[in-house]
Amino acid sequence: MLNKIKIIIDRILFPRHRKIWHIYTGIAGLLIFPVIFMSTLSLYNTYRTATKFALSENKSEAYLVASILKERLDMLVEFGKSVAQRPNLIGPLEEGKWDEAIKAIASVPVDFEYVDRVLLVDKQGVIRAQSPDQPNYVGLRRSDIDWYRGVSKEWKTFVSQVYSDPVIPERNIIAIAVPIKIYGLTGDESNIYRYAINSDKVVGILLLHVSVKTFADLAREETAVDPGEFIYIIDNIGNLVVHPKFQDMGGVINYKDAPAVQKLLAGVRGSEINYNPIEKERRVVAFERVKNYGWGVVVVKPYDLAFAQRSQNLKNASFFHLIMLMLSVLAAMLILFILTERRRIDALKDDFISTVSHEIRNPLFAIRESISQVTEGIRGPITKEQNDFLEIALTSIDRLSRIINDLLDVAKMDAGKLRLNFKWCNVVGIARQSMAVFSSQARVKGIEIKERFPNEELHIFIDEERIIQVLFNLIGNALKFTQSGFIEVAIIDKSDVVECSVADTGIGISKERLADIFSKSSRYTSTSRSRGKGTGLGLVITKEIITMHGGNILVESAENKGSKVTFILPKYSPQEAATRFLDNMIPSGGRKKSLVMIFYDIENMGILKSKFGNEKIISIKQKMEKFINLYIRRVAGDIELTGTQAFLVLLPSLDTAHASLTVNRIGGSINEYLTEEGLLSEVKLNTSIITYPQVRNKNKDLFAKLVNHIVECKMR
Amino acid sequence: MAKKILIADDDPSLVEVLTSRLRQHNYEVICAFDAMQVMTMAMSRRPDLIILDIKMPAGTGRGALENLKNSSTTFTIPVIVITAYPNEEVRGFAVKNGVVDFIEKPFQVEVLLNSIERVFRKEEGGNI
Repeated sequence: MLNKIKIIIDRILFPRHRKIWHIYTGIAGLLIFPVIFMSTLSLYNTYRTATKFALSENKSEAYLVASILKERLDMLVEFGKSVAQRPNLIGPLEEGKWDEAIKAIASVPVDFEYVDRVLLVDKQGVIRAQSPDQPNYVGLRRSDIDWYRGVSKEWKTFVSQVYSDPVIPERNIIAIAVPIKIYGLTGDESNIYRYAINSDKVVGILLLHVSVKTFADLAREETAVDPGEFIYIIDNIGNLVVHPKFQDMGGVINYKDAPAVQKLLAGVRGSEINYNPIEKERRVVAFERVKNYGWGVVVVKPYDLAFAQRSQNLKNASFFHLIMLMLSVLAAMLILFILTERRRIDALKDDFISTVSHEIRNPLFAIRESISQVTEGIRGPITKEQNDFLEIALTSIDRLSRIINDLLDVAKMDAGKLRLNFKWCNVVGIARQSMAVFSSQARVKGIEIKERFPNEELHIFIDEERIIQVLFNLIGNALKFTQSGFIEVAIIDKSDVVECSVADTGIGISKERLADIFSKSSRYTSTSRSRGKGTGLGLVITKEIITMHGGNILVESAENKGSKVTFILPKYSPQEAATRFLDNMIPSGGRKKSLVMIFYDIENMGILKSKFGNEKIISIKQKMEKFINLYIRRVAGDIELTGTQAFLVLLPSLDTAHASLTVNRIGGSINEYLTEEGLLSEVKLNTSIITYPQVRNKNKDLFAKLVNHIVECKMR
Repeated sequence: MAKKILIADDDPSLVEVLTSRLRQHNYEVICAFDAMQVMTMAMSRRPDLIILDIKMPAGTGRGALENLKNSSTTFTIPVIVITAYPNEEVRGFAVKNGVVDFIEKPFQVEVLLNSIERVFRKEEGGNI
């Protein structure tokens, strides 16, 4: 199971002959992108939370000051009310004795530090008495001032806006106007605490002048203020009650143009970041309304101060995320490095195999050639015994060549350069032929090779040589690992596939080995089973060949009972087969993705036959075929297909320019021959260079002709 | 008169067996074992055909081929390339430099003999 996962991962990470950079970049991206994403998200969150926190911190400061202020104002109002209810004040007032009344409350400005002065005003707004008596306001009519209007509206206590003392203008004061009422008992007479208010019974107004300075100092003392931060208070029309920067200037300053004040006057409370164009700095402004009085508190903090904590948080978070990002980049780089390194080593290994194999061929050729020159007697006569020994050497060389071919097959497979030469073949005949090779060997071992074949021939579209190679591998393996019993080769004709199997009664395959018997990982490992004569590559090549046929291979085995290898080959329609054949010939790897072909078509075949006779034409054709054969059979992959009236040469390793060179070469030889025979003017030979798959769309007639030709050739 | 063939390969045993084969077919054979020798032999002995081994893509055989085709005294001599590395790059290089044939190792001796025969037939007035 683990092995299978490993193989799947291997296939994804190390696909054969494919550009894999996009996969690797993708992996790196998958690693790095989420980290970047998460970091950004988390940083943004930190930023937002810290901002919110800083703003709300300011807001709560403003709220605190506003609450204190409200408490103070409430206190003042309550105090005013209590003074207005003194019986020794009400008593004289009922009789209109203002001077006597004022005496009853004259001690108030002395006893309470923030009350500057008490005044008694009649219902019409005329000041009738005051204490202390300097500066003197007695006799002044104040019926148009805001506190009179406020208090006379419903005869309720009213706190005035800030105004300067009419006598001493640099003093800013607020006035608290309390109606002085006579309370009568009503309703339940037994409960004397239950009073009813009768506004008709207002006998005067008590006015308390409270110095703003005193008042403000009181409010400020209650709040701890950071350096650089300041608090100002406005009244209900936007006049400054107190502002640390305008403390001793006197006169009323209207501040309603400040953005925070405007919002306050509109009834909004909150916290925001403002830019002060005069001092050219950003600051955080929190503003809060003082309930019931219409006043407002504004807390102003320099931006840097307000967000000091946020900056610290962000710095810490950024550092953390930077480290995370660096780690993930490092991890991605490491993985990329490992992947490319492994790929490089793989490539190196494949290169190594291919180089060594090719280099071995040189001396091998020299050895074989020298020996055959001796056996042929070119170097003088040799004895029969000497000849026999040299024959053994030749056989061994041939076996060595086969091993090298196996190695090269695998190298080609890995490079995607293994190509099949599809043909219509009788698979039953191929199987019989393959079995025959092993018959004497089997007889020596005392093992019977049985066959279970359909009665008639079975033609399918396969690479004959490669399928023989497969059967050799399978039967050879079966024979190698079977000491007694039999081997059965079976072919079953199913409707759309052909099922071939080789079964034996040998030692079988262990379960562990069965799992990866066809895989790359088991390729170069040597186990007790594969330590035979071969390279152990046979099954890997077998699997690849079957896969390239569009087929499937599977193994069943029970240890010490035997094994059965089954491969399934698909059946194709002739046209399907022809296209498949062409597809298979398209070179893979490299930039070129098309197949170059040369198509020779003897257009007047029919006329020629009637003119010169069948035999003569066939011999001419055979001769031409020989020329083509001679030229192209020396490069791997080049294939020539001869039909009744046409030849097709497939040149997967050439491009169009080089193909025209080949055309000239072959054409030269053919012309030469036809001239010799005196037929140059008779034979109408049409030569075209075709590129597949482009031809499929460009020239449909030619393509159809081509497919028919392939079908004809391959069907024979 | 026997045709003169220059075999150039750095594998002496291969040169040896090929020489023996070609002499058997009544060709006069001379040998070169490196790029320098190929040039000097080609210029001094004026062979009728050169059989040149091209090795690895960066090997000396390529330099030799370029030199042969760039020199006014040798560019007319036909060259058959044999190589153990028949990839497209090498093939393209050979074709570009106007070789008459390109043979992949290992090859059947008959293929080489055919190729040689064809070159000489053409020279004797065959059209191409």
